Amino acid sequence: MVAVRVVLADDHPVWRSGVRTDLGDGFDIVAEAGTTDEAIAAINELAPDLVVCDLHMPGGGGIKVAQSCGEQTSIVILTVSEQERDLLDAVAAGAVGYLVKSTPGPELRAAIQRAAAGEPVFSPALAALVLGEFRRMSKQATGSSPLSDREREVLQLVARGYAYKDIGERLFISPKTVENHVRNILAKLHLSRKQELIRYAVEHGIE
Amino acid sequence: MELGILRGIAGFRWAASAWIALVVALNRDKLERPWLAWLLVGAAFVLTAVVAARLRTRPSAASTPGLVAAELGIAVALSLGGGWAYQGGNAFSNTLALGSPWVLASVLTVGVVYGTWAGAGAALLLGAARVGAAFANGARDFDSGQWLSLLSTTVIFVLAGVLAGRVTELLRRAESEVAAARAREDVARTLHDGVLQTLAVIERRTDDPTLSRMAREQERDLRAYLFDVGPTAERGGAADVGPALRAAAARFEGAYGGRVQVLLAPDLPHLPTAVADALSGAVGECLTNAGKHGGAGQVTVYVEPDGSGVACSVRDDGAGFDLAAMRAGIGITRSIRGRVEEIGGRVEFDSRPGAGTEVLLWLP
Repeated sequence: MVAVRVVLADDHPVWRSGVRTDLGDGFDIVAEAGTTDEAIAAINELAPDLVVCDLHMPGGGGIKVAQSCGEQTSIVILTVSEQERDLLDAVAAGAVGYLVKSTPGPELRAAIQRAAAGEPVFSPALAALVLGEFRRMSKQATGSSPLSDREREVLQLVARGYAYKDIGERLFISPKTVENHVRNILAKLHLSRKQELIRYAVEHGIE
Repeated sequence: MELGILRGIAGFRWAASAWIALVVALNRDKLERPWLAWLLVGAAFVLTAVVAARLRTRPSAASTPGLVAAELGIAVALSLGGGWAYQGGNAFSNTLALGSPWVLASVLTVGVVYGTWAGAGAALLLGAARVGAAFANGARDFDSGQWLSLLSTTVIFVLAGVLAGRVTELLRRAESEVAAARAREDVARTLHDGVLQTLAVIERRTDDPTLSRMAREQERDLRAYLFDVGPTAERGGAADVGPALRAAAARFEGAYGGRVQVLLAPDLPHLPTAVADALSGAVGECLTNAGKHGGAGQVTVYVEPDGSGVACSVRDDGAGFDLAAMRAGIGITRSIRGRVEEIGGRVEFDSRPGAGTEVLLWLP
């Protein structure tokens, strides 16, 4: 098996070495970065399969990295806190998911493996944030694409702590279908945010 | 901030100095001792210039006790001096008060620098000086109208001094609150980037379960301190249910060693106190069941708005149980149902042996 090529970005060296140890074999850390600009430069130069990036870093952090590179590689955000609004911003900007820094080593490794395989890394906390965000957008009736009933159902089950496999069993669909729903939800979030920004720009006369 | 006020007064003082010079010039015919009048006007200009210069070059030395005392002294001299400077019989002409606007500036300065009481005291002193000036000018028996005139000057001075002191105190308090909030934000950022990260490292990298639990508890406490601040606990009979739920989670972790994740929808409103109490009580019971009967290691508590009420899920990975057996009347669930149904909510249990338990709560 070819090792997954990873860029690891965090302004705390102790974290980078910790994650490096946790990932172990199967991952090839092609670059480490301590600032946002270093991370973006490394991603552009090395085109990694996956980026593990701290939410808060000098120069803009995970949000800026996701904005700049979210379309060319998979970005997993690392964060200390689960219920932060800028976490949602990072995911809306194009990250495929996030992990809390207190996640035990083996779990972290498994989650990053799944992310590398293209699966969105969705935790209950992120699901709760995303559900709230869609409720907010639907209340403001901004015309953004709302969640389908099934997508909301999937998201609520994630928030309640169910794994994709369990959700599939409960809804009589395959785990792969659950995963697709989650991916669509992320795409909708990404799109809605873009639309919101464009609408804001138009309303305020910004070219 | 205080400096801004002092700068404003300095501008006022320039205008007042020019005004008293004009008044003296126009009334030169009525002066008995012109040298005294001009000496006092000169002193007023000198102090005005000194304070203005200090405000520009050394703001910290613009309100020293010496300078404020000098200003008050000149103000007293201006008030009192009018009595000698003018010819007798001018005690109640509107020219006698040599420098009333300038005198007012000194009251404001004392109020701003030393507070309400000092401002009022300076005002009384200057009111007395005004009476003294009338005496010095030769007036002896004041009629009630004259007394009233002297008194009203004093009252205006006192009000100005009190107001200046009070407003400055309020502004100073507001300023220190802003500074405290900023300092707290700084501390939060430092702790967030440093201490919380370190606690997370310990929690994650240690094999010692006690150490891991301690790090987790500290992390939770610190986070609660940093992010649950402000008077959010109670507002108009409505409460933030978050702290109570996190406290219940901490009790579970302390008693059973498992981990609880408490997730509140970001748009969860504050709940009526009765609902918040019922919810946190019921969730506490669910957690106790999960720990005591289910041996759960991981529990997720999720609360979101649902119509006009709230929906809550408490899901664990414990042993689970046979719903049929539960219906037969084992009272595990009675206390949960009791709390929720009492306020018009409802409860559903979903469990199978070996597949964990989920309790769903709806509250109005």
